[in-house]
Amino acid sequence: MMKSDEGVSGNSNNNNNYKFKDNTFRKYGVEVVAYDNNNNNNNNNNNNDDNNTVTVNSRGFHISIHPFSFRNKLTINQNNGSIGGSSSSSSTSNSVSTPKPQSFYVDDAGIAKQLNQSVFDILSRSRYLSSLSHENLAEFIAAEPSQKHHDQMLIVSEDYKNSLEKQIEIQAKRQTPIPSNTIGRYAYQILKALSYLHSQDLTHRSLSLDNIKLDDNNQIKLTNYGLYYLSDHGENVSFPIGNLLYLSPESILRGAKGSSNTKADVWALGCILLHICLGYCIWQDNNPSIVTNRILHLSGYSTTQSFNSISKSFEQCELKKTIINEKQHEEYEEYDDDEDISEEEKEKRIKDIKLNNRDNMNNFINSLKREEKENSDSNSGSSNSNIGIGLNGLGKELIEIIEQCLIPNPMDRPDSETLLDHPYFNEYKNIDPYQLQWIIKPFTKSWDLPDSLESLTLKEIESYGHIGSDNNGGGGGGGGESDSDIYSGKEIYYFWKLLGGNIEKELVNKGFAKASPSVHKLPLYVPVKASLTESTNSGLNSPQPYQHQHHQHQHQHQHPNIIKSKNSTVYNNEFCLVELSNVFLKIKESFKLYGSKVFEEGIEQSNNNNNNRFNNIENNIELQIIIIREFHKLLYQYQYDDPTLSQPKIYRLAKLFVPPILRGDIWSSILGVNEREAKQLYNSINLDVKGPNDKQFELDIPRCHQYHPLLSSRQGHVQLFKILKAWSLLNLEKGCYWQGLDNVASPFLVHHFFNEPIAFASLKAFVDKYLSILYVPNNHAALSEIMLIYQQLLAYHDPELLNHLMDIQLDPNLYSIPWFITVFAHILPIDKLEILWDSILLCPSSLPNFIAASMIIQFRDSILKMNFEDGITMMSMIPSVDVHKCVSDALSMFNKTPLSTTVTKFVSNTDQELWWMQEVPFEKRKLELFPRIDIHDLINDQQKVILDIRTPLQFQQIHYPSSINVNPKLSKLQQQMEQYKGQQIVVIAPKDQGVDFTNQLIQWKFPFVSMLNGGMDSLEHGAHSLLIISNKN
Amino acid sequence: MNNNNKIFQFKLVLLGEAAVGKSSLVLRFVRGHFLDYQESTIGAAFLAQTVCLNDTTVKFEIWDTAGQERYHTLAPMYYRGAQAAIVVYDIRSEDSFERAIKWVKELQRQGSPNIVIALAGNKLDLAAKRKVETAEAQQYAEENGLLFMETSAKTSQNVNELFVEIAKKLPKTPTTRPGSGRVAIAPIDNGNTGKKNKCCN
Repeated sequence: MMKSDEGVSGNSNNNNNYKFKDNTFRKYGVEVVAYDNNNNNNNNNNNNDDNNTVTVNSRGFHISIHPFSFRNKLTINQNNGSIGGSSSSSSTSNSVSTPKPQSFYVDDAGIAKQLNQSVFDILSRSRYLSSLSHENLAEFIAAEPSQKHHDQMLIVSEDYKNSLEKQIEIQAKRQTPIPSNTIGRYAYQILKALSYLHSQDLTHRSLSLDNIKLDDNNQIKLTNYGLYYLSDHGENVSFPIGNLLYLSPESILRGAKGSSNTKADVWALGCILLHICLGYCIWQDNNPSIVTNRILHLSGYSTTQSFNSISKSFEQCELKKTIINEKQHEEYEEYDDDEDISEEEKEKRIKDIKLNNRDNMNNFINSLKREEKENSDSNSGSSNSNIGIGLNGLGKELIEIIEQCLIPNPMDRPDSETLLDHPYFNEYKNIDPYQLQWIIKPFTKSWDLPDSLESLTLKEIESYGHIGSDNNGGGGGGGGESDSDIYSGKEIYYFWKLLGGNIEKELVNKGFAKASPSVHKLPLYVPVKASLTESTNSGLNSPQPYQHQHHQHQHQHQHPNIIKSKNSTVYNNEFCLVELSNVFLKIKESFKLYGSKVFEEGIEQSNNNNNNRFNNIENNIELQIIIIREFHKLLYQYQYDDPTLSQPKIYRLAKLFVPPILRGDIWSSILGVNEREAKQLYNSINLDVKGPNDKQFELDIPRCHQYHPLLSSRQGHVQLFKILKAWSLLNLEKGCYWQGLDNVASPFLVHHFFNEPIAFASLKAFVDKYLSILYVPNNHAALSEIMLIYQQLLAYHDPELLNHLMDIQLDPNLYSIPWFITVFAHILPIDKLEILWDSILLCPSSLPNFIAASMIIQFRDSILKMNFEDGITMMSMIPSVDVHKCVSDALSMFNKTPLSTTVTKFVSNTDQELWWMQEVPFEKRKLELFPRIDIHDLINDQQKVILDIRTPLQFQQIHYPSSINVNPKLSKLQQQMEQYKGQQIVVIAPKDQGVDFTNQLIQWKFPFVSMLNGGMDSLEHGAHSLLIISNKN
Repeated sequence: MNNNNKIFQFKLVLLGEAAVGKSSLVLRFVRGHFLDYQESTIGAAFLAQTVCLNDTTVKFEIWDTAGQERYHTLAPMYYRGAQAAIVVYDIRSEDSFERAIKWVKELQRQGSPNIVIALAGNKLDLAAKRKVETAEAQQYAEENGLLFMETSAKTSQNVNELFVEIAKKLPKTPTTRPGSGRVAIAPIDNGNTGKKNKCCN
C-alpha cells in the first residue's frame, strides 16, 4: 500500500529542475534559457533556424484573475434626502465620527457611489503584497479596480492548475494515498511560506486545500493570501474571509469579521495536514452551524455537537450548560479592541476564556488513531479507508506537529517559525536549495557565510555546488553559451497585456463577469438572529454566514436563523485562469530573434547613427522582452556587483527605451542609488523627533497629486510624510522645504511604494542634481537665473514668440516658477511627468530649460494671438501638453543649441584681464535677450554666420576668419541682414557694446542669434592662432 | 454720472497662510467649482472674472498667491499695484488669523494707497471646529477699515457676496481704465542682493 507515487515524491526533484539563479534581477517566475549551439557545433548539418534552442521553463505558471466585490461604504444623509459624503448623526453608517470628505460619481442607474477611500486603500495595500517574494508563494501581481463594476476589484496573481485539493482527488482515484514524506515536505513548504508571510505581518486567514497550489515540479505555491490584508482584515468586504472548515476557534469566537492573528494560519495548517493524511475533512460535515459547534467542542466548549469517542463520530446532543456566555464574549471583544491594556493583562484575560481545555482535541485524535487501527485489524471496508495514508502512517513527529497546530488556545499554539524549527524538518531543510539563500543574499559581493559554517554537514556543502553553476543541466540543447533570464509574474502579465490581453474581457469570455447592479448584491446569507447555537440564544451575536460556493457538490443545509436572499453574489472563490502560451511563445521567438550579439549590434547602430532599426519599441513586444532581459542583467550588476561598469550601460539602454515596469529601478540606478546605502542612511534618520516642517507637510500632503490612487491613500500619505520629513531632517542646515518638494517626491514614492528608503534616496539624489540651488532659504537669484536662461533659449529658437510675450508683458516670473521649482512635477500629472523625467534623468541638467521652451512653443500659435490675460490663462492649459512631442522637440533644440548657452560664465577671483569671466550684475544681463556663447562653440562649429560689429579699422587689424564686418548703425541694416536669417548668427562686439544690435536682430525675429562672450578679447586670449592679423602693424 | 455699460478693471490679490483656501475661494468664484483636495499653489496663479453691479461691470484680474512663508519674497510682485486684496484665514486656526493680521499690516505699509482690503474667514462649513470668533475678527476689521466676511468655498456661502462688496467699494473713477491693473513686473529687490533677507525667518 505504501507505494510512492512518482509524481508525488518531490524530494528527488529538488536538484534537477530547481536551479537556483544567482545572476539575475528576478528570482522567481518564468525561466527562459537560450542555448547558442554555434560554438561547439557537433552537428554540422545544423539548420540555421535551429542555431539556438530556447526553453521556457514555466513549471505550469499561470495567471489568474480573481474578482471580488468590496464594500461600498455608501452613506445616505437622511436629513435632506440627498446623498452626501459626510456622515451626519442620522446617517445610516454607524462608523466615522469625523466626517471625511468623499467624492461621488453617479453610475448609469443614477445611483450615487463613492469613488471612495477604500478603493485607494485597497490599491495601496496591493502594492505591499506585490512587493513580496518567496519561493512558495504565488506572486501577487496586481489589484486593479474593475472598469465595469465600480465595487469590484480584480486581483491578478500567479497561479497553477494543480492544487492540494485536486492532488487528493487524484490520489484517491488511484487508490494511492499521498505518502508520509510528501506530506512532510508539503508541511515544510507551507510552513516556510506562512512563516515568511507572518514575518511580513501578514495573516493568510483563508488557507485551504484549494488555494495551496502545486507547480509542475510539485512544489507548494500558496495563493489567495492577500485578500485578508487587502480588505483591511475583512473590513472592506461584505463576505467573511476564511474557509470555515479551517477556521480557528478564536477566529470563530471573534465573529465572522473579527481579526485573526497569525496563529490562525497555524490552526488551518493543522486541519489541512489532517485532511491530507485522513483523506477527508475532520469535521465530516458542511453545515456552518454544525461545523462551528464541532470546532468549538474540540476546543473545550460545551456545544450542541460533541464527539463520542466510543462511536467515533460527532453527535448531536443536548446543551446542558452554555459555557460561552455573553460576558465571556464581551471579554473577548474587549481583549480585541482595547489596545491600551498591557501584554500580561491580555494574556490573563485570554486565559480566562476557556480555550485551554485540550482534552476533547486529544481525545478526538486518539480515537482517530484507534479507529484506524481497528479498521486495519478487522480489514473491514470503512467508508473512509484508502483515501489517506492515515494517522498511523505518519511519523510520530509529524503527528506531534499536527497536534501542536491544533492547540485550541492561540496563546499556547506555537507560531509558524517555531514549528519550522522542529527537528522533523531538518531533513527537508538540508536538501532545500532556497535554504541556502544567504549565500547570494542581496547586498553582498562575496559569499556571506554564516558564523556556524563549521556546523554544516558535508552533504550541505556539496549541495552548494548546484547553486553556483548555471550552465549545466536544464532542458536545453546542451553545451554552448546560454543566455537566460527569469521573468516575474508582473512582467509576464505586462507582456500579456502588450499582446492584447485584457482582464475584463477575459472574465467576460470565461463567463465570470455577470452583470448585476451592486445594489442587488446582498450577502447570500443574512443573519437574522444569529446565534452560535440553534437551541439557545445565549451564544454569540456575531454573524456566522460561512458558506462557500466551491463546495456546491455537497448538500447545503439551510440554517434556520439565516435567511437566504435572492439575486445575491457572495464571495466567489473561483479564479479565472489565463492562457499564457502566446506569451511564452513570444518570449521564445524574441530570444531566437535577438540573440545577445544581434541585440548588441542593434544598440550600437541605433546609438551611433540614430537610425531606426529599433524604432517604435513601445509596440515591439519582442524587443521589449529582450530589453527587459538586458535591464535585469544590468540592474543586478548595478546593485550587487560593479555599479561603475553597469551604469553607463543602463544609460545607453535607457536612452533607447525605459520599460514602464522597471522605471523605478532604472531611475534609481541612474541617480546612483545603492539599496544598501539607502537603507543605512534612511534608517539612521530619527523620524520620531519633531521636524521643522511637520505642520506644513500635513497641510500639503493631503492635496498632493490626489487624483492618484496610491498618493491619495492613507498609506501614501504616511509614506510621503516620512520621506519628506527624512529629507528635511537631513537638510536641516543648508536645504529647506519649499512647497513643491511633495510633488517632486511623488513619482519616486509611486515607483517605490512600501520601499521608503529607496524612494527617499532617489528623491535626495534627484534634488541634489536638479534642485539643490533652489531649495535654499533664498532662491531668488538662482530662480531668476534659470528663468533668464529659459527666456534666452526661447529667443534663440522662437524669437517671434518671445517678442510677443514681452509685448504683452507676460514675464516668466508670472508662470514658470512652478515649472522650475518642481522640475514640472507640480504642473503635470504623474503619467506625463514620467515621460519627461525619463529624458531629463538621462540628459545634462540643463534639459529642463529646453523642455520649458519646447513646452510653451507647443502653444505658440494660440499665444501669438493672445493678450496678457488670455496668455496667462493659457498657462493653465500646459498640463495638456503632448509630452512625447515636447521631449523630442526639446532634444532637437538641445542638439541645435551651443552647449555654452546654458552654462554660467562666471569664474570667481578671475584676473582683471579676463573681464568676460567676471560677474555681471543680473539687472544688466537681464536686458540681453540673447544667450552668450564661449569661443569653443564658435570654433567647433563652422556653420555659423559671424557678424563683427567693431569698427572697420579694428576689424582690419584682427578678425576671425570668414567673419563679416557690419556697421550696426547702417540705415538699411534690416534688409542687409535679411540674407542671414535662419542661420546661426554669432555677434562679436566690443566690450560693453552690441547688446542693442543683437537684441535688434531678435526683435526682427532672427532665430539662433547669440553673442560671443568676451568678444575679440576672449578670442585673442583663447584662440590667437586662428585669427587673421593684419601685417601692417 | 453715467457709468452704464462701462467696464472697470481692477487688480486683486489673495494673501494668507498656506491651506486656508485662497485658491478654493478663487476657483469657486471664477469657475463655480470646488475640489476637496486643491493642489497647493506655487508662485502664483492668475484668473479673471467679472462682477455686474447695478450700473457698472467690474472686472477682476485675480492673483492667487502661494501661502507658504517661503514664497513670501514673491508676494510684493503680485500685490504691487493691486487696487484690492483679500486676506484669507481659516476660522479653525488662530495662527492663520495672526498671519492674516500681519498681511494686512504689510499691505497697509507697502501696498497701493487706497487699496481696498477684505478680510475673509474661510471654511465656514467647518464652523463646528471654529477657533477664531466672528466678533473678534469683525472688531479687528472695523478698527482697520476692512471689509469682513466669513465664507465657505465648499458651500459657496458668501463667496460671490465678498467679491461684490469689494467691487462696490472700489472707486469707479475715469482713471481706472481697463488694463491699468496690469502687474508691475519689477522683480523685488530684497531677494536680489543675497546679503540680508528679511523675509526668511
